[in-house]
Amino acid sequence: MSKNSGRGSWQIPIAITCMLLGIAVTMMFKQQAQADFPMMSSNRNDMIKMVHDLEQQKQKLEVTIEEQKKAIRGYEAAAGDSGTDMLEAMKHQLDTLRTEAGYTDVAGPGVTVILKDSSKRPAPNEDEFFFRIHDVDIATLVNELWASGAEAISVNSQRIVINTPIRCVGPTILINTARIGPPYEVNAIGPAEEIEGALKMTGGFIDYMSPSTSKGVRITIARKDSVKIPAFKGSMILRHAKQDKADKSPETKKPAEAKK
Amino acid sequence: MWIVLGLIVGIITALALPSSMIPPISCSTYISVAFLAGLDSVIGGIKGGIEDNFDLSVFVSGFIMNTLLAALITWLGDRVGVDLYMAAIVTFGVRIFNNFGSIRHDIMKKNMNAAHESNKKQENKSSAKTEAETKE
Repeated sequence: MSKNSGRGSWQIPIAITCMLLGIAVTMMFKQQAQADFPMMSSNRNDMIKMVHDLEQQKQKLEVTIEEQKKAIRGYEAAAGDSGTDMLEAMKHQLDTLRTEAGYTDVAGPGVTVILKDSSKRPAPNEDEFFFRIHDVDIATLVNELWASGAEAISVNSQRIVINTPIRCVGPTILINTARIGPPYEVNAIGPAEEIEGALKMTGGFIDYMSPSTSKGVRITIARKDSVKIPAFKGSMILRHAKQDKADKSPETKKPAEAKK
Repeated sequence: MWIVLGLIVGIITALALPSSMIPPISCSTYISVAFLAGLDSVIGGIKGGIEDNFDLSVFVSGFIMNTLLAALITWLGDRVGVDLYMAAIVTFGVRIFNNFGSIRHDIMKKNMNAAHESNKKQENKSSAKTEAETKE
């Protein structure tokens, strides 16, 4: 090496430059990691925690809703027992409306459709899209089921009600407020034969899914004598939609009351 | 060695920085060019140190000016849509390899000389020959 007197004098500036070099190189790696996985930034863990916290909160609130519903039923029972025919009739009507709106567990004959992602891996030149079940597939199936006479539908035990969203959130599908993943079990109560026929007819759901089924996505349709469908767990509060006072028909008024 | 220590300190500093301090991906060419400029200066500086003609003012001005020029070229390339930063990368790359080659040669020469100096007392003629060879 060089002379002892010169050693320190040339090494220290180089060491400082090396420090800058280290910073630059680490920045490059961090940047690349961020570009590859946009969600890999350090606030990712915070976000995961937030999602878990919110889901816990949601579960607590669902329990609260359930308790409130029980309390309401208790009051109704008390009112019904008190005897008057009018109260009895109103209670009966309320129960019917609840069932129609999806707030009660229901059972009856129907079909079970099971959708499974493909177990094959896409070849390098193939699009991954058709190897998986997407939110639109579920939404299309639900639509077809309604159209062919289904009276109650659930997807992975999430009840489909009038304002149920079915949408894609990252790798999972969000139905109502629950994240669900494959395999998807869609239950429908209704005329089983007609529903099965509607799904299998030319241009029907099976036809619509043929690009996916050819890639290994599996769909099974089974007719069943008894399908159980759980109640809608959330609550519906209409904050903005108010009944149009010009419309005095009692049919439109009662469901709105029932939902409260 | 101070140099390795400096590198480690730099890496730790950057790792400790919060993710909000990471420059956006659009700056990645600037960082890679700056990285090459830094590497060029470091290799050049080590070469100077080993050859005993290290000059602090040359080193610092070379580092700063090269980085600035490289950044300017990159920026200009961005404006006109030509990958001008390639010029900086090629230049720095060639210089890094050249200087690295010189360092290699210097170190090998020194080792050879040291080996021959121990034999010097026994064979003066042969050591004179090898010195003449190494000078070539």
